[in-house]
Amino acid sequence: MSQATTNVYAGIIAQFQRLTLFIERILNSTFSQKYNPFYYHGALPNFFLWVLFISGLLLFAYYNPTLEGAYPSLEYMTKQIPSGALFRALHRYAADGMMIFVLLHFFRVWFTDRYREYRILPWITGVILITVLYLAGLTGYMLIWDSESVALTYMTVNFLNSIPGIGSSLASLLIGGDIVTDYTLTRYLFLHLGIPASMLFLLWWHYLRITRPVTNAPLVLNLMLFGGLLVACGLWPVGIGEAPNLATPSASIEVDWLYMLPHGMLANGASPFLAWVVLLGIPVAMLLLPYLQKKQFRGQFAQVVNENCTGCSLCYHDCPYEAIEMMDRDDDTRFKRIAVVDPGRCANCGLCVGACAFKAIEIPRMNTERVFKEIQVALGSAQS
Amino acid sequence: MNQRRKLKVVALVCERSVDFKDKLDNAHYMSECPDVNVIQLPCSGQIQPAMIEAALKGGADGIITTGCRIGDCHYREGNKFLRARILGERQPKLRASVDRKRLQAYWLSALEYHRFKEMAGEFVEFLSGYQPETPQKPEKKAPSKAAE
Amino acid sequence: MPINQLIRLSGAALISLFALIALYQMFTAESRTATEFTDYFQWALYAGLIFLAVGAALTLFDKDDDVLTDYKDETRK
Ligand code: HEM
Ligand code: SF4
Ligand code: SF4
Repeated sequence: MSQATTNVYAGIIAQFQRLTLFIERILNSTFSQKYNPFYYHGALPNFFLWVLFISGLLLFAYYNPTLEGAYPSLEYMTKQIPSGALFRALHRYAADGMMIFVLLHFFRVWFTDRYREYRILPWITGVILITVLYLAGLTGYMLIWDSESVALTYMTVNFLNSIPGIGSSLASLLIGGDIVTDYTLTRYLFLHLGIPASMLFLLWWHYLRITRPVTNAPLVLNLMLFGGLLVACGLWPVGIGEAPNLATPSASIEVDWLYMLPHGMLANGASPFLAWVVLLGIPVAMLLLPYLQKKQFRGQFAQVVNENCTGCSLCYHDCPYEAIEMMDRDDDTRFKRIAVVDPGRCANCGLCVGACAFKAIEIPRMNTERVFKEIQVALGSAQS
Repeated sequence: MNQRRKLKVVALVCERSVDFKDKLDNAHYMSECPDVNVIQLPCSGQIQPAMIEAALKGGADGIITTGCRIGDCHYREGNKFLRARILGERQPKLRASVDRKRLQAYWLSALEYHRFKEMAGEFVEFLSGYQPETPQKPEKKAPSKAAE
Repeated sequence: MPINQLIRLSGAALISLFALIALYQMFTAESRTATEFTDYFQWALYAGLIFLAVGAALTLFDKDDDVLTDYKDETRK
């Protein structure tokens, strides 16, 4: 990457950072910093995830994954069970809400430069998470199995078949055989339960290097999100389309752009090739983004002053990126433990310095001695 | 305003919060509030209570610490930890004997220089007339632990 | 009562109310006749608006200041 490109890119990100701060400033004036939703960017998707799990459980209880049974079971849920339609709507809008807030989270960590170097693990797992979320949503729309779902299935099969070589095997993996059978719906159900379940594992990975991740927003924010969800349900009730007919599926589908980006493109006349380029290009571009900027503190990390460290482990508790480990020490001091910094995880943030009462840990870019000296200078030269 | 002595106020400020570009003179005094000397650090979480104590012991009239908005720390938790230390809720704590009236902590984003100037100005105004009460006794009042 | 406790309590009360209603619906669902059927979308709209209003009102009264001074910051946390 040439120097010039890197600088241009960094300049653009800096402008987006100002934009983010500007929006946050407006939000602060209404919510105050305590309930600013932007400050819970990672926690908000989690709220929708729980709504999805709970509402999905109720739908799962009634769903019948067979060619003959799927549509009637959905019809029964929607038209016979009181509030069954409401739970379907909750499930659908929570899925949309989740994607929207994951995108917000993504743009915020990107624009505020929280996405590279020591944050590379959450970034990469984040890209996997958003891909997995997309697949979960898409398979959800296929499960409905009204005539639009059938159209969606055919569209997806054709889309997969457009890949030379492996396309047809991928298609039969999706629908559980060469043609649509009872196994298709069992396969859909498996995918739609299995993919979200894998998100729990991926989230654990996402949080692995983050000390005390903020996974829950304050109750008030959750209350408002839930209110927003209910209002969406009330305004746009979810019904059910026509009964499926494998020979003549619905001529068009209602595109949910959050989960049907390539389908929407295909429906609007794009070529499968272009749709594939976009679908695969987005995550690949996301993975490359962190490497567009040059490293900030190449080779720097917090340094423990071994003679001073008492092994009190305050820095270990405060480090926000799990970069400090307390190790046994066997040199002849009276202290049993010592802090050791993992260079690859260290953010050069100095939180450990603030935590240490023994001048035993330093970050190279701002030595504590220098701070104390600058304080003295400020006081000395202020005499009048 | 009548002539008053120039005060010594030290501001320990996170480099990602209030933006002091073109606002400081060569010796780091604020051009628009010359009583305040600004020292910038990578994060407000790097501020040790000992730094605040040292500044006051060294003759500072007041101390300002500034971090980003609570919730927006670039390193996730630095400003929360500093706040907890000042409030005596996190080790290492700021000594109880430190004169609370001489210390202010602001939580401001990079766009909020004007708010900083406004509050720092008021603080300087307050300090210029401030007489500490007779010898501060370290008051051992248990900090109210908010159930969190 | 401190405002944050009030928020938690009222939030919890509202959510448990919703949960109770939902539970009741579930238990009585199968025994209803078709004429009694309702899809609850109207109800969702009103409940949602109430939730939003209550949430907004609670954030109005529970603010966190951008300055910590004199150690007497009551609004904190
Ligand atoms: C299923 C969706 C996701 C959930 C539930 C989620 C949740 C979270 C949470 C709770 C945190 C911790 C925030 C904190 O405490 O500071 C976090 C951090 C992070 N997430 Fe996600 N995330 C998701 C998707 C993504 C995506 C799509 C990306 C970007 C590609 C991403 C990138 C990051 C990064 C870089 C961090 C570290 C931020 C920091 O260290 O300040 N996440 N995420
Ligand atoms: S806080 Fe300081 S003394 Fe305590 S373990 Fe860390 S480096 Fe050692
Ligand atoms: S500077 Fe210290 S607190 Fe920050 S990441 Fe490195 S070891 Fe952890």
